[in-house]
Amino acid sequence: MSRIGVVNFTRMGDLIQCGPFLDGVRENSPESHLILIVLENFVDAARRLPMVDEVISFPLDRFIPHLDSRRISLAELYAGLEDFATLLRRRRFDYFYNLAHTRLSAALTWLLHVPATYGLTYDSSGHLLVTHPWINYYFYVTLNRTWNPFNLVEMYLPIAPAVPSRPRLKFCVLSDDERETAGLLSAAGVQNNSPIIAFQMGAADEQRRWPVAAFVELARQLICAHNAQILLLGTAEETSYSQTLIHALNSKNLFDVTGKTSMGTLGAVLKHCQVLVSNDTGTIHLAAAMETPTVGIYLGPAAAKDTGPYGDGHLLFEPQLPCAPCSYHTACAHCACHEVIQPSDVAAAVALQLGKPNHAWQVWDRPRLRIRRTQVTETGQLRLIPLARLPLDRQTLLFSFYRVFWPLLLGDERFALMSPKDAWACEIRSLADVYEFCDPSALLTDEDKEAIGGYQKIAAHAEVAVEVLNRELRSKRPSLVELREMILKLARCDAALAHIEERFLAWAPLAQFIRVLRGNVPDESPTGLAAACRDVYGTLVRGSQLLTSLRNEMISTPAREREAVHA
Amino acid sequence: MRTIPEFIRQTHPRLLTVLENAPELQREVSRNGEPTVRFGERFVHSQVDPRAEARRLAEHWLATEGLYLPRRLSEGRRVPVIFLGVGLGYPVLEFCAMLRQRGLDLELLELYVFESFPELLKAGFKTLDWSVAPHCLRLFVGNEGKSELLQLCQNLNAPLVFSSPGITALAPAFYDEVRRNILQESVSQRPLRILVPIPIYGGSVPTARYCARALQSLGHRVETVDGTLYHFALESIKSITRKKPHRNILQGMLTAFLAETIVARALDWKADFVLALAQTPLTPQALQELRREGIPSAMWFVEDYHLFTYWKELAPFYDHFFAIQKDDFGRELLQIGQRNFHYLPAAACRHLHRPTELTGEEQLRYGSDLSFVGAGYYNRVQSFRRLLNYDFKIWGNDWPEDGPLVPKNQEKARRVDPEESVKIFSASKINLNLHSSPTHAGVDPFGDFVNPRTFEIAACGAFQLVDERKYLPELFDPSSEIALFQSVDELPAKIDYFLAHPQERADMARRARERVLREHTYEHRMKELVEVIEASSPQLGKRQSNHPAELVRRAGPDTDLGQFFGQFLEEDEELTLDRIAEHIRKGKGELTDVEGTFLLMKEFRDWAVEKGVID
Repeated sequence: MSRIGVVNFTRMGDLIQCGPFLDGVRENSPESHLILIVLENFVDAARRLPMVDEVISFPLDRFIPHLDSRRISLAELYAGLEDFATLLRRRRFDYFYNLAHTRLSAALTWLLHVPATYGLTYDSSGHLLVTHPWINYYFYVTLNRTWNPFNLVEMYLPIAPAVPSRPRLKFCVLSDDERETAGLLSAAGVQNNSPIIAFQMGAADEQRRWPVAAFVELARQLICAHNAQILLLGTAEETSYSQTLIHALNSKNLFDVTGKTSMGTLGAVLKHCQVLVSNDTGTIHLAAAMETPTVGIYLGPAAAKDTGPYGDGHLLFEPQLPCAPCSYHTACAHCACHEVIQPSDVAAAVALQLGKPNHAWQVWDRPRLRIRRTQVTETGQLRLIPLARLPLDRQTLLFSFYRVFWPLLLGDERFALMSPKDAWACEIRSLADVYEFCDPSALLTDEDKEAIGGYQKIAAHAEVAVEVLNRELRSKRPSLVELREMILKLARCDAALAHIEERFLAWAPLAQFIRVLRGNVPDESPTGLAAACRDVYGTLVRGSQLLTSLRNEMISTPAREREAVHA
Repeated sequence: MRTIPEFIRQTHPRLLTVLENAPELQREVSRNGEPTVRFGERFVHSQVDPRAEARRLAEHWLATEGLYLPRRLSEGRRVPVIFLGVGLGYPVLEFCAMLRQRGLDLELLELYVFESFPELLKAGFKTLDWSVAPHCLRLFVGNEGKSELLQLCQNLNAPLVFSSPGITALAPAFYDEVRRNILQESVSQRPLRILVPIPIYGGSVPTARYCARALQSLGHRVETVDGTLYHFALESIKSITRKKPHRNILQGMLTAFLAETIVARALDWKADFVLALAQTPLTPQALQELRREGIPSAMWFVEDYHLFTYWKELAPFYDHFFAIQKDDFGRELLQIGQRNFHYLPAAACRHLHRPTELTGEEQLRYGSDLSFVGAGYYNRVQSFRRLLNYDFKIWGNDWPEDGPLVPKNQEKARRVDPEESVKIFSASKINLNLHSSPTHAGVDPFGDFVNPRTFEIAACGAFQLVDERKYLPELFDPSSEIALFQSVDELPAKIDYFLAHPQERADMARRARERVLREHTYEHRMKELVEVIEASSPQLGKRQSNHPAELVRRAGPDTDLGQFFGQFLEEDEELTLDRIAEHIRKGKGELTDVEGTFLLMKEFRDWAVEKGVID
C-alpha cells in the first residue's frame, strides 16, 4: 500500500476544489493511504472530504503566538517545527503533492525528502524548485489571469496521476452534522412547506460583496413570488449583514443562522436548501459539493471562469464592464459593478433554479450583464454557457484556443496522443453547440499573424542555441565559453518576448509563461544554468510551433466543422 | 525517619559536617500528606501537593531549558545539568523520575545540585527518599558550596541550569548571582532593544545622544528617532505666521506627528522600552498608546523642575520618571500619579569629555585664566560683572548685547557645540561653573541639583570652581575633588588663590576625573536606569535570549542544531530568523535538515505577517 501526502494550505473553497484532484490520485491507486495536510482551521472541512484517509493539521495555534515574540527562543521554535516535520516523515510517503504554491509549503515539502514529489519544493541548494509544469502555469496565472480559461479545479487535475471517472466536488456530511442541523433549523423556525433559499451575503472583501440592500430587495421578491424561506448564512463576523437585512424587511420568512454553523453543519444546511444565492465565497463551492443549485454573483476581482462553482447547472452573474474583473487589491472608489446586477434578474435566476421559470425574463436585454450556466464535461472541463445563444466572439474563441494550447504544451492525460488538429476539432465542436457559429478566421486579425510571426522568429534563434546547449551538455567536457555564449544569446530572446508581451495582449500568455520559467532558473553553476535555459527555451520553441499549428487549424477547419455541426 | 543515603555519605564526607551543624526546621505536612517545610513565614514547597508541583516544574524545564535534553540522552550524549535551589529535594527527585519514565539513562547526566540553605537539605534527607537519586549526583551547599560549584563550572561545557522559582525566591539576589556566574551571562547575551528619540532642539539633544551611545556600549540595541531633522520645520512655522494661536496649532501638529513617528518606530522595531529626555516630542496620547502596546516609557528629566514645569502634563503618562532632583520632586510627582520616580544625577560622556591635547592655535583661541561656557542667565550676568579685571572669556549665547560683559563674550556670543566646550575646558586654568538662576543675583541659596557641566569639566580633567549645591557633596568630595564657592563675594579671592596654585588645581582636577570615570559616566547612569526598569517591568526580564552562545547551550554543543548555532558565535549579537535565512541562502553545499527547518520557520513567519496574523 502506497502512502500519498497532499499539502494544501489555502482557503476553504480551494480545499473543496481540490476534491477532483484527490479523486484522481485515489482512482490511480485505490489501495493507497491518502493523507491531507491542512492548516488547523480547515481540519473540519478536510475530514469531510470522502477520498481522504487521514488529515494532519499544521499546528498554527502552537506557533503563531511565538513567531514574533521573544518569549520563546529560536531553539524552542525549532524544536516545535522539527517535531512536526518528524511526525510527517514517519508517515514515509511514497508520493507527495504540494498544491499550496507557497514558499511555506515548499519548505515543508522539501523537509520530507519524498523521492516522488510534485509541486513546489526546494532544490538541494535551497532555491525554489517547481517539479510540475502545471504549477508553473499556476504561477503564470497569478501574473496575468486575463487569458486563463481554466477553473482552479481544472488546474489541479493535470497534476493528478489520473483523471477521475466523474470529476465532481464532494463533501461528506456526517450523521452528527445532520442531527445538529435538524436542531438548528428547527430552533430557527424553518419549515418544509415552502422553498428554502439560502443567502451568503459576506465575501472575502468589500469589492466582491453585492450590497445588502440588493439582497433585501431580492428577499422581498422571493418571499412575494414563492413564499420563500430565506435562510441567512455566514460567519460570526458577518452578523451585521443579516441584522441589516432582518431590520430592513421585518418578515417572518427570514431565518438567521449566521455564526451558528460549523463546516459540517453548513454542508448539511445547504443540503436542505433548494437554492443558494452567494457572492464568490467558499460556501458556494460547498453548495456545489452538496449538489445544491446556486446563483453566484461575481463582483470586483472575482471572475466566474476562475472561481465559479465546479458542477452542473449553476447560474453565474457577472458585470460586463471594461474594468471587470478588476485586479486583485485594486481600491475602487465607486464599484460600478455592484449596480449592474439587479435583484429582479437574480430573482428570475432563482426561479429558474426552482424549476419555476419566469417566461417574461429577457436575459439578452442586459448588455452590461453576463449570465452563464455551468456545465462540467465528461473530461472534467468546466464550461460557462451563455443563457441566450449568442454569436461567437473573439474573446470566447481565444479562450477556446488557450483551452487547447496549454494542455498540449504542458501535458495533460486527457490530451495524450491528440494532435493539435484533433484537439482543436473537439474544441470547436463544443463551441458550436452553444454559440451561433461563424468563421473563426473572421475573428482573427493581422496583428495575430504578426504576433505569431514574432514568436516564430524568436523561436528560430532559440532553437539554434538550445541545440548547441544540448550538444555541449551531452559532451564529456562541455565548453564553458560556448555555454556562456548560448546563454547570452537566449537572454537576448527575453527582450523580444517582452516586446510581444507588451504589444499583443492576447498573445502575451506564452511570453509571460516563459518569463515565469526564466524566473525559476537558479543562479548556479554554468552547466546547471545551461541545462535550465535549454529546458526553458525548449518550451518556447515548442510553444511557438504549437501556436502556429493551432492558428492554422483555426483558419482552415471552420468550413469542415460547420458542415459537421450542421450534419 | 529517613537518613542521608549511603552513596551521598561516601561521596560527600565534608557535607555531612555542614549538615550536622545546620539548624533543624519545623517540618509540616501538606494537604495530600506529603512532607513540606516552612522557612520563616513561607512554605518552601506547595502546601497542597508538593510532588505534583515539582512534576509541573519538571515538565516546564523539559519544555524550555531542557528541551533537547531527552534527545541528547537518547543519543547517548553526556549532559551537564545544574539544579539551583531544591529545598527538600522534590524538584530534582521528580525530574529524575520523569526522565526514568521516558526510559532515559540518568547515568549520562552530570548532575550538580546547589542549595543555598543547608537546613533545607538536612530536612530533605530526613523526609524524602534520596536513595533513588542518580549516584552521579554532586551536592553543593551554602557559600562554600557556591565557590566550589562556580570553580567547577569553569570546566563544564554548556551546562543546563534548572532553577526552582519558589525556592530561589528565598534568596533571589544570591541565586541570581550564582546563575549569572554559571552562565557567564553578560548584557550582550540578554540585550534590550531601547528606542531613544532625539529631541528637536535644545540641551537635551546631546544628552539623548550620550545616553544612546552609553546604552550601546553596555551591549543593548539602540535605535534613535532623530527629531533634529525636523528643526527646520519648527523654524519654518515662525516664517509662516506671526500669530501665536496659529503657531501653537502648527507646533502642536508637528509634535503630534513626531510623537506618532516615535510610537510607530517603537512598534515596528519592537522596542523593549522608550527612553525620552526632556523636550522629547512625546504627547500623552502617544505615551498611552505605548502603554497599551506594552512598551514601557521612561523620562530622564535633566532640567530644573522648578523652572521648566511642562513635566506636570506628561509625567503621569510615563511608566518611569528619572530626574536630577529629588526630595519634594518625588512627592509632587506622586501627587499627580507618577509612582515610579527615581533620582538619577547628570553625568559625563566618557567618549567626548576627556583630556584633550590642543594645538598652539587652539590654546590661543580658547585659553584664558578664567572661562565660562553657558547661556547668559540673570545671575551670571549680575555676578560676572565683578570679574572684569581677570583674563576672562565668556562662551555661549543669550548674553546681553550691550553692557560691561560685551568685551568678554567670545566670537559674537555664538552657540558653542559640545566638542568645542571640551577644548575650552581643557584650555582654561579655571572653569567657572555658576548654576543658572533667573531670580537670584548670585549663587542660588536653594540650588540642589548638579548640572551636567560639573561632570563634563571634571571628566575633561579640567579644574573648576563651582557654586555650592545641595547634592554636590554626595557626588564629589569638596575638599579634594572639586573647589566650591558659596557666594560671588568670595569668588575673586578663590580665583586668585587657585591661579597662584597650579599644582593644587591639577591634583583636584585629576581626582575629579577619576571620580567621574568611577561613578558618573552615562554608562553608570544608563546601567542604573535599565536596572530600575527591568526590576519593575517583569516582561523585560522574561525575554528569551537568542544570543548564539545561549542557543548553543540550549541545543547542546554536541547536536546538529547546536553546531549550526555555533556558526554565529563570533557575531556576538542576538540571532534573528532573517539573519539565519540570509546565512543559509549565502551558504555553499547542500541544504541540511536544520537549515531546511529554519527556512520553514522563516517562510511561516513571512506567511503569518502577509496574512496579518502577526505584525
